[in-house]
Amino acid sequence: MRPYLAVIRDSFHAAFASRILWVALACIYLFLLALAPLGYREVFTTTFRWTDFYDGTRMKAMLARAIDEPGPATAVGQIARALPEELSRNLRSVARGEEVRIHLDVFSEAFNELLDREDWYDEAAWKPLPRLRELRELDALDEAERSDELRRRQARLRIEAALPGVFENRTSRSIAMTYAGFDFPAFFQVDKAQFKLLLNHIALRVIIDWLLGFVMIFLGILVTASIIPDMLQPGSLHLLLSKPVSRSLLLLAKFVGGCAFVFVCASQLIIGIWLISGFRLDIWNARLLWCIPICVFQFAVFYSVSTLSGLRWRSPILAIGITNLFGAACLVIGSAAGISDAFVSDPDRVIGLVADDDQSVIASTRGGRLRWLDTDAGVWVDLFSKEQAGRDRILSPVQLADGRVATGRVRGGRFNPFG
Amino acid sequence: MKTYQEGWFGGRAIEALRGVTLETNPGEVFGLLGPNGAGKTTLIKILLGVVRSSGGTAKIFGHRAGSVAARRRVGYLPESLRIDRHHTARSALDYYGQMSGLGRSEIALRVGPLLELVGLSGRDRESVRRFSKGMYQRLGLAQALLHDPELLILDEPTDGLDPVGRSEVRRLLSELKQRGITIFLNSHILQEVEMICDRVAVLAAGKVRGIGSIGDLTRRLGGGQAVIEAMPPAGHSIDWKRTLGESGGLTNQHGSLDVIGLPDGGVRVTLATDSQMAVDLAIDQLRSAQCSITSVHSGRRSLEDVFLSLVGPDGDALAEGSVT
Repeated sequence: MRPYLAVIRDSFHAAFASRILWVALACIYLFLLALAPLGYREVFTTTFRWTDFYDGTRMKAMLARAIDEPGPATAVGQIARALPEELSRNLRSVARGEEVRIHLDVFSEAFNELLDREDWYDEAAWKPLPRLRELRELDALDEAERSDELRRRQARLRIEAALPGVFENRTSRSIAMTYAGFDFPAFFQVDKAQFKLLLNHIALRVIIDWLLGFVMIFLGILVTASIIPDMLQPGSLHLLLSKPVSRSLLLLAKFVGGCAFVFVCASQLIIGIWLISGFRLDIWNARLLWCIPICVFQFAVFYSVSTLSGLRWRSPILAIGITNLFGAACLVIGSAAGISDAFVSDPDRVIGLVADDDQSVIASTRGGRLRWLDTDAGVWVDLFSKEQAGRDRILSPVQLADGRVATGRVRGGRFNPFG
Repeated sequence: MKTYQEGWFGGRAIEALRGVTLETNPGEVFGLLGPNGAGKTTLIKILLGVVRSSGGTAKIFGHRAGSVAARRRVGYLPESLRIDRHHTARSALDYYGQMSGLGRSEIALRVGPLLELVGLSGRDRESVRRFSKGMYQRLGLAQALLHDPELLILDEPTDGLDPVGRSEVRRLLSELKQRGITIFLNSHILQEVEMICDRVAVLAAGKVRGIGSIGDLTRRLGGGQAVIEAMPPAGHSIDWKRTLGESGGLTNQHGSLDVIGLPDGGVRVTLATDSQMAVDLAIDQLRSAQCSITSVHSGRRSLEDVFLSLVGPDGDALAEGSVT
């Protein structure tokens, strides 16, 4: 084994000497340094955004009806009368039956102004309303115990209580991203568990896919493409072959040397990301470390093409070119397969199948459709239209204890991960 | 025998070696001579197992040439040696030592004396990119000697070196010869081979045209020669070939005749012959043409003469009976 280990060590020696490894490691550490100050803190969900409105029409109608209501003050009326003058004027026009378009962000801005005021709140008006436990607890707090943030949270909950059926369900806590102690301007209206899920499933995945699946492999090929052609230079090859070594193992050792270069870079990057996501974001996802062997394996596949090209033509440029062509061919074939799956096979590929008490068979498909089997006609019948199936996410049906079948439709599809 | 196939589908066959038979004795310096394309490097590649012969057998110390056991006992310095530029002399020796199967402690023990031997001590931690061609070759020799081989195969070890570098390598080879290492030297620098080698083989067009000690070859293939320089009378134009050959009576039986004019107006007549009578006849003819004889030298032919004869168009005929 000694000669082959020497070859692998020599690959590192060469990489260090040519400064390529140093440059690669410096880039990796700069990236990790840039990532390291990233953090987050939990804050109360206070600020309204236009996406928080579930039913804008209902809200407009409720506010218009209540703005000039006679009799004792209601919570909606209190809010409507406290809105900015222009919005109030528009709402009165709506109340008169005129067609007035009001953008949702006008409402969100108006409500956000109310968060910092208390003049619109009337305890008697809110008393008959059903209030969430969180609001009841906040109402029970002494004035001294309520921070500004809690006061704003309380105001938001009062507005939500006054306008039932108008708002999307939002968690009480949001995530505020920070960088070196400074807050990002935007908040994520998700709780900590959901935030971790998002990071694990989306952010880390995108970083890993791009950094390891593309940048690392491409750079790795650029750096290592010359290893085999260099070895094949007559003065170098004949000297190596004159040594008591097996030529196939010699080639394998050179190949491993190239992969080891990527292993070193990928492991530093992944371990760095893992530590940062653990210490800074409290996400200790050990499965992230599996990316190291997977990245090396993926590189080995591309590097084997580079090696074969290097052996045949002894040119690093050709080796890089052919490997890139191979990568492009993989991309084209993969995309074609994905398109074919999405439009041809997935719509009909069953992924969940249940039967209810009446022996009706209901199936969900990979393409997001929900169907039942019409046994008389012998055909599958869609329960939702194709448009809805493409737009929303259909959960696989399950059989409940009482024999009935339950399923779910999540609006917004994959862009609404928490339903 | 070695036949190369040209093209993707083996279109044209090129015979690089044909029926080469030679043997090297332990402890001797054996020179392999031949013009470019003679098959010298192919022969070395077969000995090292870099390429496989198409027919026949080659053995090194009783092992099949190219086998791991054979390669363990061989040190090799390739033509146009290429050592990766990230190495120093010491790290290169460490790397090639490990490639030869040596442990690092063993290498550490051997490197110092070897660097001393090749004259690189003190520069062992310098990057090879700063090395001159001569230093490079000496480092190549050091790596070839590192695992204490019994046979050293050197492919054009002085190629591209200046006279000082050549002299250094020659000194080193003489020292190795003193130590009893068998050296197989491939070179087309004849003076060098003449100075170092005990025996030589002349290869041309893939065949051995001559083999033996240098004295043997020059005796068997060259014979003697006489060089006569003469000055013709002023204002005379003489047809020398006619004067000496057809009219003068020097025939092919007397040996080959070569006449060249000299810058001072004189003429140099080279007569390849062992016969004193032929030399006397040539002088007589020159004298009768009223030429002054300015010098006469006689002796044996040089290795260069023998080499040129062997690799020339008549080399095959000359070689018959001379190869053992």
